Order: sequence, then C-alpha cells, then structure tokens
Amino acid sequence: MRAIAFLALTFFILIVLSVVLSITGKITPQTLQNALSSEEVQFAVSLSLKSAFVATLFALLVGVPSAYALARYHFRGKEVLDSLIDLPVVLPPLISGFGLLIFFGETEIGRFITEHIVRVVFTPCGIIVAQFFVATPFVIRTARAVFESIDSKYELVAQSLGSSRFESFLRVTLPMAKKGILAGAILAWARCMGEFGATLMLAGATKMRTETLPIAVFLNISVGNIELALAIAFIMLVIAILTIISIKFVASLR
Amino acid sequence: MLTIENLRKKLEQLTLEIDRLDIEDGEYFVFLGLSGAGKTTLLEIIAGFRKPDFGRIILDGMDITDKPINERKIVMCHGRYLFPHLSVEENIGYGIKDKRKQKERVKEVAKMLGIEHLLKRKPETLSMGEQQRVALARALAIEPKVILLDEPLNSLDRLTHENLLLELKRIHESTGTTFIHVTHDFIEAISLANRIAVLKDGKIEQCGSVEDILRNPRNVFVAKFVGVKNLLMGKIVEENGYYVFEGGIRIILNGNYEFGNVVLGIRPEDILIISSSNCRFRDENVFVARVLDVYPLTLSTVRVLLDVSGTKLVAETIKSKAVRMGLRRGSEVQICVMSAIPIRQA
Repeated sequence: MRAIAFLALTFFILIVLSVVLSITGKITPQTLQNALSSEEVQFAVSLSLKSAFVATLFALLVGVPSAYALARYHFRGKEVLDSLIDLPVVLPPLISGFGLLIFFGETEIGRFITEHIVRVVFTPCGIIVAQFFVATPFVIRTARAVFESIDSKYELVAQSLGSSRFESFLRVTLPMAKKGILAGAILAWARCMGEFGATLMLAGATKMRTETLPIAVFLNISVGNIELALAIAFIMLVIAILTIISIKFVASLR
Repeated sequence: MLTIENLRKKLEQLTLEIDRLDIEDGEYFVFLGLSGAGKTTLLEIIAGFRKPDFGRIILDGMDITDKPINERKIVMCHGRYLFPHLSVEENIGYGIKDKRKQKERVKEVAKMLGIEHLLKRKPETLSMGEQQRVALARALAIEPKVILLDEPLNSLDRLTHENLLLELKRIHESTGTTFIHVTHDFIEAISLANRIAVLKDGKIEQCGSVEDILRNPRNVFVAKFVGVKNLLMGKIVEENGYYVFEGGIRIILNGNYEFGNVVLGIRPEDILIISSSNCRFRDENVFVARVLDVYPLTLSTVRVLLDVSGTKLVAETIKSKAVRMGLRRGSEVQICVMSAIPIRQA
C-alpha cells in the first residue's frame, strides 16, 4: 500500500511541477520586465487587485452574517438553503455568469438596477458582481465552520455580563473567529483573482476596460501574443503561491 | 428575592418541574443533584440562556422570564468561559459600563480575589483555580443581584478546591450578593449553603436549611445523598411507651413517629465506638459489634465497618481514637447508636 500511495502522490506532484515549470521555463527576465512595464498588464493587475478587494469585502459583509445564521439558528429549510449556497461553487462559472447576464439584462429587477442604481453588464462593476457571486460561498463555508466550533455559551456569558446580542457577537464571537474568517477571506480573494468564466459572460472581455488578469491571458492568447500571456500567467502563479503562504501564516497565528 | 414559579421544561431525559421556590436576597443557595438531574438547565433558565416551556422567573417582584439576558442583573460565572482573546484584566473589565471607572474597579475586585498578579495574563495560561477566580471577579465587577455558579469547584485539586471554597464563602459574606450554586458534591453544598435544594430527575426532592436536610432527609434518595450510610429496613412498634425500631437490630427512638414500615437512617458519625472495657453508657441502643474493616477516610478520620449480629453498619471516627483503641479487623467493640432518622419510603 505504501508503495502505491507514494507512487500516486509522486505522479500528481510531477504533473503540478510540470505545469509550474512550463510557465516559468519560458519566462526570461526580459519578457517579464517588458510585461510589467506594459500599460495593459499594469491595468490588468490594478483592476484585478481592486475588484478582488471590493468583491471580497462584499463577500465578507454578506457571508459572515449568513454563516452566523446557519451556524447558530435552527430554522425550517436550512438544508435547502445550505445546498443553494453550494450551487455557485458547483455550477460552471460560465453558467453562473450567463445567469447573471440574463438577470441584469433581461429581467425587470435587473433592468431597474441598471437604470436606477448601477450598470452591471459589460462594465467593471460586472467584474465585482461576478467575483462576489463565486467567492461568497467560500466565506460562508469557512466562517460557518468557525462559528460552529465556538461554543455559543461564550456569547451567552457575555450577554449575562451586560452585552446586547449584537455587542456580544462583535466583542466575543467575532474576535474569536477572526483567524478562521481571515483564512476564508484569503481563499475568497484568491478565487476572485482567478475568476474568469463568470466575468467573461457578465463583464465581457474588453481590452483595457474589463480586462482582469485571467481575461488578459485569454485576450493575449487569442491574438497569438503568447509571450505576454506567459508573463501574466507567471504573475498569477506568484500570486497563487503568496496566497498559499499567507493562509499557512494565518493558520499559524495565535 | 428570586422566585421560580410553576416552572416546566421538557428535556431529552427528563422534565424539569418546580412548583415554587423562593431564594432570598443575599442567600447562598445550592442546588444539589447528580449529573443529569437538570441542575445546569435550571441555572441556564434563571440566567435566561434557555426559555422554560412554562412558568415564570420573578426577580424582586418583576417577571423576568422573557427579559433579554443582558437586562436581568443575573450573571453566569463560569471559569471555562473566560474570553480567550482578552487578557485577565480585559475579561474582568468586560461588563463594566463606565469606562472611566473600569480600571479602578478591575483593580478592586482583583485585589479582593488575590489575582492582581494575573491581570496581564491570557486565560489559557491560568490554572483552573485561577480561571474560576477570574470568572468570579468578572461577575462581581458589575455588581449583579445574583451570581450563578455552575460546578465552580469541579475538577480542581484538593487544595485548590478547599481554598476556593473558603474564598467563595468569604466573598459571599463580604458582598451580600445572592449566590446560586449547583453541584453534585454534598460536602461542598453543606460547607457553603444557607439552604439546599436536592434535585432528582428534574424535581426538588427536598428544600431546606443545611441542618434540616442533614437531620431530616425526607426520603431515602436525599438521605443517601447527604451521607446517611446506614439504611435499615424495618418497622416502628410501641414498647413500654417507647417508639422502637425493629429490623435486624432494635433501636429505641426519641420522639413520636408513625407506626409501621420504615427505613431507618443512621449517619456514620452518629455511631459511637466504645472500647469494651470502658462501658459507662446506659445500655440503651448499645450493641456488641465485630470490626470487619478499618480504613482511612481523610487525614484525621477513619471509616469502620461493623457487624452487629448479622447487620452491617458503617461508622466513622477520629483516627487518633481508632489508633488508641487499637481498632482493627476482628476487634470486638461496643457501639452506641446516638441518633437515628426514621425515613418514610417515597
């Protein structure tokens, strides 16, 4: 068994490494520097960072209270809600984006939002909506697990010491859950940075307008600019590695 | 005064049922019961952590059954639930509303409990005894009307147990706050309580002063729980104007009792062991007994197992006395039953 197990592990690690090497192998310092100084790449990096930050923020604002509701309260239909939350994770992002596109473009509510609040379809705002949709389940999943691991008696004791429910949540449960929520937020952020399918459908792939890093890779490959696509891929690889390191770091925090 | 009225709460294993219970201001009240008797649930209902199915909790004339937890002025004190992300100082100060007086008040209660040196520490670095002290300080800091203690002395080592017990007694006396304490340890209960309620399967078997419960346990369960080790089955009959218990041995009783079947309870400390040579006692309730075993109970006391013509009795005596008398397995002694409690079967 030991031999089979390690053989399987080695096999998969080799695949991962070959992907990493395929990207890094073709990169020279020169192409990387060219890419980093190109206006298009700078725009894509900046847009990706900004949109992922805002989308993660919204994901936290919505996801943390949702997770709390699922962790602390018992109500009818909880199982159904729970499955619905998984849908954005399981559904192909392209289909999620397609759904969002029809919702904002073709329905009454969607049109109302477009006319009175904000234009979502084929705009940078659409990027945030697409990323939010895909990333929020990650926040809910991780935060829920953290809340469930915290004995609700801490909150009750805090309330018996004079805190209101909301105050006991803010002063006791939330700080106790901080680490887990932060790890969830990093995961969600990484998901936002890599979001492609839903963004493509909802925000479109307009050069220098809705061009996030993954869209930039797509656009450059489609016009045959492999060198630039590889350089952007390399940037994303670095971001992915930094994400893994930061999650490990957060987990090691006391 | 805290009043529990017509309380019903259905739990998985049992139903909590209390028709009426009044706990006086400043009282040290102990709920005594085995695990699973509903003690913790009862405490949580008083705190507002759980809602009763039925009934009312009244504090100083006000119905607080549906009041939010934070408006009750009743604090749950629990060493296991110190907030782990806060220092001891921040934990104690947690409930103090007036932030300007916070530091001062924290110092004050920390001093009262002898934990000033722990203020900068995190709860996880404290021993269990220290955690309980911090929890108590945190509760006292907000000057509540009632402090609830859920097995506060549980799983502490002997010495810490004793120290904290004395501390609880001292703090209760000096603050005058109402303490409601649940425990399964009857020694703890009698050392601390003004009054005790013995709980079994969610119902109060007996409620009364410590002396009352010790001297007049209402049934066999309570008797066993409060340390009545000898329970003899028999009946009470009249003999020459005396009430006499008959059942294995014959014991003349003081006072008036109903005739008929009864369980006679004898506390181990109420069996006096008399050395056989030195018999100055009148022969009422004096028996010849054979020692079956002697073993230490505490540092200063021993337990003696006795056989009185086939009836087994458990006695306790001072260790030095047992040594002086040379008590050991097989010794023949005289014993005197000083006091006995007839208990009606429930």
